[in-house]
Amino acid sequence: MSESFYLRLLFFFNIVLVFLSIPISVADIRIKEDTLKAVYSFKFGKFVQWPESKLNNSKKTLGYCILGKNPFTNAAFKSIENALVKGRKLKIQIYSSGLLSDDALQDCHIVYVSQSEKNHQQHILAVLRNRPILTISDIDGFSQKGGMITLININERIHFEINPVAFKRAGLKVSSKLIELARLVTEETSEHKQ
Amino acid sequence: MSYLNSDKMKLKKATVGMIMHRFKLNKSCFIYLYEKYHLTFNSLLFSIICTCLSTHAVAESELTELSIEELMSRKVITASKTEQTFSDAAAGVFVIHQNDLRRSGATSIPEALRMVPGLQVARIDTNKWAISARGFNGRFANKLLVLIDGRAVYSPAFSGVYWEINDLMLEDVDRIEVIRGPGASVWGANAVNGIINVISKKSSETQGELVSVTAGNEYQSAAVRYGNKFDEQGHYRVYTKYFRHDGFVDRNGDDAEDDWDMFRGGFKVDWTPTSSNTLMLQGDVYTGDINQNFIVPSESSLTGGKRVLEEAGAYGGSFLGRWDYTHSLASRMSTQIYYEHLRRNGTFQNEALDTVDFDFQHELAVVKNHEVSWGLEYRLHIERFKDAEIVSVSPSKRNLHLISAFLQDQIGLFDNRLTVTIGSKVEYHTLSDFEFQPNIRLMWNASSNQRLWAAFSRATRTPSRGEKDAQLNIFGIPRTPQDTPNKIVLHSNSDFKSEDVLSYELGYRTWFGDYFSFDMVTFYNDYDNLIFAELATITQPGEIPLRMTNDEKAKTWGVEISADWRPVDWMRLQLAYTYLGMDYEQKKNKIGAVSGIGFPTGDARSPENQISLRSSFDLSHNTELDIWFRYVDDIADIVVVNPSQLPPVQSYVTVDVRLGWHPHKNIELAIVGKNLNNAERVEYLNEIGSFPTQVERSFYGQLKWKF
Repeated sequence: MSESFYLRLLFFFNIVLVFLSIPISVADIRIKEDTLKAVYSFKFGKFVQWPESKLNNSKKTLGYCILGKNPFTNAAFKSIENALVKGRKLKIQIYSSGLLSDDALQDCHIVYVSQSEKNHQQHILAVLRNRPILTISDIDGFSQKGGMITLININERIHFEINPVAFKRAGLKVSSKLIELARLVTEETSEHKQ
Repeated sequence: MSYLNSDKMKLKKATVGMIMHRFKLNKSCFIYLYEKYHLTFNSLLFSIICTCLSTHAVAESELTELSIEELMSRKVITASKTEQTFSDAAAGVFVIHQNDLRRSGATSIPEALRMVPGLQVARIDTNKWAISARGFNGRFANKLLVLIDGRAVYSPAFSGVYWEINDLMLEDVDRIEVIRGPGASVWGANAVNGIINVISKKSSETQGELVSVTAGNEYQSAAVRYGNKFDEQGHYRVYTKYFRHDGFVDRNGDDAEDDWDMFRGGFKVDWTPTSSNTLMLQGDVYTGDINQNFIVPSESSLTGGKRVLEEAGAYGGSFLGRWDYTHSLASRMSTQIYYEHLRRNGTFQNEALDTVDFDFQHELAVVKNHEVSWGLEYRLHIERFKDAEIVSVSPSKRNLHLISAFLQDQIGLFDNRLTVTIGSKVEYHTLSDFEFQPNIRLMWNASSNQRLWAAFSRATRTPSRGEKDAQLNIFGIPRTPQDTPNKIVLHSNSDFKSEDVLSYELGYRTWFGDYFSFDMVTFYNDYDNLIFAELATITQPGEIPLRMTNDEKAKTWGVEISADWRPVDWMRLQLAYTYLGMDYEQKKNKIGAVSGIGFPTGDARSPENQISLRSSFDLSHNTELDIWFRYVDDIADIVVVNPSQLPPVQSYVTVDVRLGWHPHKNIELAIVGKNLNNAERVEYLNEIGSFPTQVERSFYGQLKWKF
């Protein structure tokens, strides 16, 4: 049998399967939540200005450090792994145990705090508080506790909250465009216990 | 291989494009296929899989080009997340999540363990289980460590785990992590072939009231849990649960009268007083009446033992406290202390045990690419026995001390492409001596979704009181009719040493998004100093004395596969396959190889092949259907010394079905049928005084109501 016969057969199978899977899969073209969150956090990098000292003392990469269990699937990573931010290649490091040495922290420009570190978030934020590192998380109330950006799911769309005070304290500049699009939040006044 | 001419290719691309446009499908998978066809032509299977998978994928590469406003306007799929917690562990790991547990229809932890590759799970009677990893199974399977929220439930009396008394409200289980292979360098003693770690939910996740009622022909239960807050950062829950289980049937199909019931209650408190301190307290108490059968030696009969049907009592409780302290981003520690009391009486044993355990662990990332952890543990067992018909122990009271320390470093090399974990544990136990248990593990991140790992480790198994201090009266019939049937007495051996294993493991795993994952582990284990029963000099007429020795060697090897595929959002297939090979070095003058507390048995105490296939369907947004198919090989020559010529345990196929319905978000109704295709089967025989019982077909209905 000719190979084109096999090709047609293959093609036929594909089409049949596509039709079979339509009723359940295609209501709307949707993106996986984690993929969109990954893309978001990469995008934020474009709207944030790090102090020269932070950019100078590391290599020609922009460190994207995930603290805690990896919240992103492979597809989400694929979408950002070769992306450039300010001409720098994004360098993703996952610290799944939630432990991060001071040494390693020097190379982080962005810290994404995973849901697995929810109970430690205040502690993490206390450590990162005065450092020029962009802190992002999808933990509820992260920005109220002193985190810079919180990704929130509202009616199946991903929005974000910004805590401008946290940016200021860390010496990071955030573009006014991002501020305009965000919901601004203020920090809880309760004292941070250590 | 033919090459598609460009016109044909264009045409096909255009057609595909139209279809994709019409149905708004992702193109990457198709284009990939069409561009690859002339290279990998025989990829029919691949294309089918790819087609199904393509409905999940979205053109990610384009997303980074979108503006923030556009991102904000995109709708997202909040995927039912397949957790890949362990994709970076250099070990054979399988996790049963709450959802797996719920949909399995299991009413106890052992039943759920049947889905795990590499485990041998068999039910001896309604209240006894034989569970092991990588072989050496038995009621007193001694090479598997079981932890419930950090508390070791491994018995120092006869080794192994009394599964029947270790229960909790299944709705409150967060996950069960099963790690096959030696975990000795970090975990507690006796994690020779594996560790089962049952982890309950945080009390913040179990707020409000929950009522769960189950009624069926074999099993009935009722459980209530209440959770609330205190302070700003504190949560607690209390629960109580009662269940009763009907008896199974004996080999003639008559009621084996091994019904039992248990009542338990407990609490858990989680409190985060400051951002760097977390406290957890939990406790539980239980009491149960366990009807059980044993065959004991009979003075009057030489051809058969005497069946004893009795109501044994089991009660106890535990209390555990843990303090987690985060010192900095790079350092955190955990201190845990627990107390447990356990009592058990009956024909088999009359035992009381008090355990106190103190455990400290510190994890720190001192320098880049190094994660160091170290820990100390002290455990005291105060163990008392009264003579029972089968087991008598001398000295009747003994204190056992366990002291251990471990140190481990996880090193990231080549930009974390390669992770090397090297560590060791040093352990002292009253019944053995200092034991050195090192391991080295390599994990290679072959690509962003592929891992290849290898491990070499040594682990030891501490002798039990049973092996050191006990005498067991077993009844048995010799294999040839010429021999006289008689009373067999198994004597312990005070020179008994620890068993040890050298283990070589190799694993591979890969995954695509959250819709497909595949994990394969192969291992080769080389055991030495295994327990064995040796024929001793006959001193009393009518009594065959056996003496435990431990100079037996064995080798095991195996393959464990698990695959998880979600072809479409509403369907999930989970496969587990286990192959286990075993080779004992038989010595003359020995009755047979042994495991557990040391009873003469045949070579193969574990099935060679096992398959579990779970198919889950979401029939509608509130209806679930689960079909669980399992195949388990026969267990040849399970017991040499046994009360009468017992048939070997036969292979079996079984099907469980669960239909679940959520009429309201707080209400869940389910009907479950277990062992539907097979009326009755013997799954396992107790090592001593076996009275074989058969697992029956069963049905139950369940209501869970949260408010």
